[in-house]
Amino acid sequence: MMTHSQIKVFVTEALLLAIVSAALIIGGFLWSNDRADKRLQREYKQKFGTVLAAESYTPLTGKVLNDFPEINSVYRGYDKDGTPVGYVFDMTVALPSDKTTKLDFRIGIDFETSRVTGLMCEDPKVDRRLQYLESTLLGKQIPVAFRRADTTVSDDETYAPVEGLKDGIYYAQRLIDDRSKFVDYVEMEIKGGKITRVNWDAFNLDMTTEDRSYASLSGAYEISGLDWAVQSYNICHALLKLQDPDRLAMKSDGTTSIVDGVTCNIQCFVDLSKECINYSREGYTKDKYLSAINRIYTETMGSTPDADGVRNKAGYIAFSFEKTPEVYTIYDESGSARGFRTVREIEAIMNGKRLNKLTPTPTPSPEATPDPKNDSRNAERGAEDGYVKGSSEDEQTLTDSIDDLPMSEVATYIYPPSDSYVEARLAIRAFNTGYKFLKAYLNWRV
Amino acid sequence: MPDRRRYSFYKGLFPGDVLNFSKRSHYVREIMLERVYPTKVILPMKMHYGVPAVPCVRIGDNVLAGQCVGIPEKGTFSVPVHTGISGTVTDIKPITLPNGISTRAVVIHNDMKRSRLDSLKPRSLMKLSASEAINIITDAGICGMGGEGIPTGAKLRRAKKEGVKDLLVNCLQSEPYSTSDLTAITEYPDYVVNGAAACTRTIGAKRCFFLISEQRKEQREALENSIGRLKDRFKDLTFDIKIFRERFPQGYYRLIAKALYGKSISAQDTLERICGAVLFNCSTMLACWEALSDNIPMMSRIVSITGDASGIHNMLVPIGTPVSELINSVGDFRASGGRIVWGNCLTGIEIKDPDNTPIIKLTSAISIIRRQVVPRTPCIHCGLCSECCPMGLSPNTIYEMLNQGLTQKASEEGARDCIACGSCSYICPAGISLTDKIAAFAGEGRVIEVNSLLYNSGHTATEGELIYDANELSGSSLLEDYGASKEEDGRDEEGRIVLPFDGGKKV
Amino acid sequence: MSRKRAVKKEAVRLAPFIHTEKNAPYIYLTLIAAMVPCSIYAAFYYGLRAIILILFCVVTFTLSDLLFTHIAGRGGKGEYFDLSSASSGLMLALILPPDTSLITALTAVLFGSIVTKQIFGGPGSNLVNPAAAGRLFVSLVMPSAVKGYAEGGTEGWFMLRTLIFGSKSGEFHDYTNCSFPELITGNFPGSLGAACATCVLLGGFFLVMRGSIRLYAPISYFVTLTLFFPLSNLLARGTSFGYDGYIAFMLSSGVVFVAVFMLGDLTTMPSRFTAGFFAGMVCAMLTLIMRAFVRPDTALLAPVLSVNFMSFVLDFLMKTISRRNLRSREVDVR
Repeated sequence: MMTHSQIKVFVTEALLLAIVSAALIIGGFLWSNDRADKRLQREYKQKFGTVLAAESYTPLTGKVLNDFPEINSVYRGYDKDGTPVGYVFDMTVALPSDKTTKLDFRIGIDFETSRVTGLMCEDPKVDRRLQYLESTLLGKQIPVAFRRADTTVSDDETYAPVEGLKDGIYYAQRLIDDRSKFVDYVEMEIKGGKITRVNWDAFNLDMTTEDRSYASLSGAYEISGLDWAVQSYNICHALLKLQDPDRLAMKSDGTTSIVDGVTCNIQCFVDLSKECINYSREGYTKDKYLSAINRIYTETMGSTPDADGVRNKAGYIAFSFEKTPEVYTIYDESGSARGFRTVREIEAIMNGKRLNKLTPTPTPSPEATPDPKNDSRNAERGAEDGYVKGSSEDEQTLTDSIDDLPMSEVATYIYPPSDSYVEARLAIRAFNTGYKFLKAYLNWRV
Repeated sequence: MPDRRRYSFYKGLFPGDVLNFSKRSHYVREIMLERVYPTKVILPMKMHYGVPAVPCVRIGDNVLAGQCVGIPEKGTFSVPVHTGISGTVTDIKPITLPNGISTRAVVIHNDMKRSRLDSLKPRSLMKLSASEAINIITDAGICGMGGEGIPTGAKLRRAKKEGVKDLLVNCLQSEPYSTSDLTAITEYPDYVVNGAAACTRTIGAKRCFFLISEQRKEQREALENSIGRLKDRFKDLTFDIKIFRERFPQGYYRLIAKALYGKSISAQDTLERICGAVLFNCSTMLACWEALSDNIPMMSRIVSITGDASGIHNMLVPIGTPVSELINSVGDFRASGGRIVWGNCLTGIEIKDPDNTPIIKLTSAISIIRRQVVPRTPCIHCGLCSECCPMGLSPNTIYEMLNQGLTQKASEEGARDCIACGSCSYICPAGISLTDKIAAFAGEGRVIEVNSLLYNSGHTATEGELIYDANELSGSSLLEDYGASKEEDGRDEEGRIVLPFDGGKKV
Repeated sequence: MSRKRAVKKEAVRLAPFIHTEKNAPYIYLTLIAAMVPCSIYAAFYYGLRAIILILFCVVTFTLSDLLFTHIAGRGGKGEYFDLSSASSGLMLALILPPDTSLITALTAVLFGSIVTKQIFGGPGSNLVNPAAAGRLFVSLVMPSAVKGYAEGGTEGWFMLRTLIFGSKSGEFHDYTNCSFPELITGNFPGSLGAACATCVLLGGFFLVMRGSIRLYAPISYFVTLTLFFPLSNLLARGTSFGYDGYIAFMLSSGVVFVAVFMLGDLTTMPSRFTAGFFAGMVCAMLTLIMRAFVRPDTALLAPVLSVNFMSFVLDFLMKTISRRNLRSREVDVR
């Protein structure tokens, strides 16, 4: 075996070797890294420039990636100033039903608005065929789902009304204002078991100005897109056609894409419409509602609305109960807010009797995440494609999930292509996977 | 002398990567020649190839330094044995030398009087015929001191018969640690050159080449100076120094033939026949000149006591000195616990009984080697053994074949060519004793030794039989008669060569 | 005569009493030391996971060898532990992609250890390079697990995710865009340790200094690669006949690593000059041809294995040729 001196010599030489190599490596790194970065960015640009225009790209890492086997890599793109502009995904997508067909996609997503900035398939043939899809999706928000031609709100289509509606005029208003001092309300008229008239508007807490529709027309209330009054009209019109607020396909961000001319948040409208429909089933008319709210005010505030001057010219109580949340909030065991009571429920409590079910209305709070398991809509969970064919009641019913995303989250609906359906479907799956990743990665609350 | 072509064979152990010979060179400068005067000598009757000599002394006889104690049987191929000390014969006993030779040995105890035979003095008349010179060399008991052990007289005679053109003096002591030959050159360059020149004339050759390693500058210069001094005396001869690369085992005659003449010699051929050259060790040349000019028989030689577990000493040692005395004289070796190797560390033989193992005429070195634990691993098929084998064999393949009993295949692979130089065992990373196995096979298969000189050794001496009357030969070194009484006969001999020396002149 | 023979038999029982310090553990230790620069490269560029991967390969390779030796009953008898397992494990780790999962590495290790080493008779008897065989095995059997090298692999020194999950990103890049400084310093996505040509050459230099490398095959490999590169270009790209991408190929494809640590190997390559030269040439030609048709790692390693297989035959053949003259003479003599 080696003698001590030999071992010493050997170790010395090995150490020397290690030091020399470490110096070479680190020196070489410093020498070449700038070029390597530049080259890398050049390659990234060449590769990803078509789907997301950015000055530089950095790969994202993290445990989250492991939950998404389809995603090969994710990059965040930055502009010249170093501000993030978007994400680029490199993924290989297959349908759960058919694992053999795989396509490699590169997709770009805008940083702030999560809109599509580009789509590219690495198979050039497929890419050509998906050209139209890219142009359709450009600038659209993800997630994306196909819509059936017959699920759009078309005038010559009739929809079955919600069952069990009693004729009459029903009414519901919010107990708190929105952040711009408006209190939303919906008035609904049922005739012959069908919704025949819907009005969605909001009182101004400031008694001097008019309702929101008026304010929007006069320019005092501005939102993106069409005037709010027009959008309100459109959505009410759509509900008259569809007969069921669920059919409005409200997404998790509170918008809908199936109603033309409506870009605003319709959460409030949907909630209040559902409340009205519930009242209609129970024959809880507008008059009852108004007297109930009158009573709630009186008992809560200790004086009459008239005395406090919160009744507006039209005779409604335009008041926000935000200072007394205990009146309308449902608390769970831990004492945190779980939902909100309707006026009828509050009245029932004041009467000392409990209603059969005190289910909270769908939460208007943007903080609460819908739990798909408890979501009653999941009862008719459909195929992955986003629609099912031939359910017993309807010819076609929108299903409530696509690529494991609740339908309510879907932001963009597009028409399925006449050909290359599978490829387009895979592309959409890619987008939705990207959406899911971003949701998980950025801890998005929906 | 300008730098010239450097000769070597292909493969072998390289000094650079294997044995750091350059490190050793500083020892060479340090080496002094020491002398040892032992309390007893053990003189085996057979130290050479051939028939053992026969003791010509009896127990109780007093002998003088230089006296012949063993003489050849008549008509046999043998050389006499001389004692290097004066003293009393205490025993004549059978002895087995480490190399396996069993023979009788004469044990002489030193009387410390250092009395020498009167005849051990410079020869008065240096006009000798070739056959006289050969006879002197034979009777001086000289045999190849590099390790081959062939009686030099016989070799000269054969070379003369073959009509060789070149006489090569092997100054290539390439074995690790051994420097005895080199010391001989450093100390007695004129003797070496004179001896070589005399032998060249004796065999009728015209060229005398000294083969020396390129790293032995000191020895080279000594030889060059000596040649410069002496070449005028030998105008009919051409002297040259052939520079070789330092490589082990460069000194082997087949490798020299390959390097110098570009000819490969098979085991059956001789250097004389193929290359027209005869090869002698430089120490042998030294001994020859001692015999020719000073009438000194081969009674002592230079031995290196060396090795990684000892310093390097070169000692003038009477033949037959027990190894233990030699070692004790250079210091306490037993403390180091090294192995004592009879010979050099690559080809020598370990001895367990240094007290009873003598230095013989062929012992150029006693190596004291640190005990090494060689890690034994399975063969890793690295091929290093094939790379270094000077004979171009594949020791690993042969070893495997021998292990499987495929002797026929092994001989086809050339196993018989093994010269047992030990390079493969030395280099083997797996620590396999390749040389051991292969050399044993090569040795057992070789019916007739490399040198056909043994053909005539038909006679076997009967043990205990005293052929000569000891008294008749008493007090003789066998060399007395030459030059004086036989001078007349020698002159008449045809083709005789007269050595042109002034009698008695010390060279 | 019979006595003489016996004497002779005794007389040749010789042995060298000194032994070179270059024993088998030393050779493997040298090999390991020569791979230190590459390991440092791996640790510097890929951080903790590289260190873990390297240690894992070394340890599992050693354990697997020990275990198998034990099972096969070859072990014991005072045989030295020769470090060949450790060096094979290290070499294997260095040619794996940086984000190889431990499972993949284990597969490669087990294949290299058991199939290529132990089944052929244990340490030293392997016909082919265990590291190359293990690596090739995973790239053929689990191509998705080692599908290439991740761009911008410097994900942080303490990132360990890929050890468990492997990596999804990874491809074989076209390195022709890389600048020379990047190529020579290994600053590009490549295998764990073989990417940095400087480090490999440094290790090679160390091996040469230590004499634990045989240069015939590596030199002929390089020469052949250089001479026939244009042809390979023609084959691979169909159009260009020239030295485009030559430097990128030489520095990025791992041929330097292969030349130094696999073709310079003492065990698995031919020992004779002619055979070694021929083997290097064949290896280079195969690489150049396969480059056009298969994955780069396969194109790199499969030729190594084939010349490993060939080397035994080649060595034998060359020996036979070189000895033919002598043998025929021996026959004549008889």
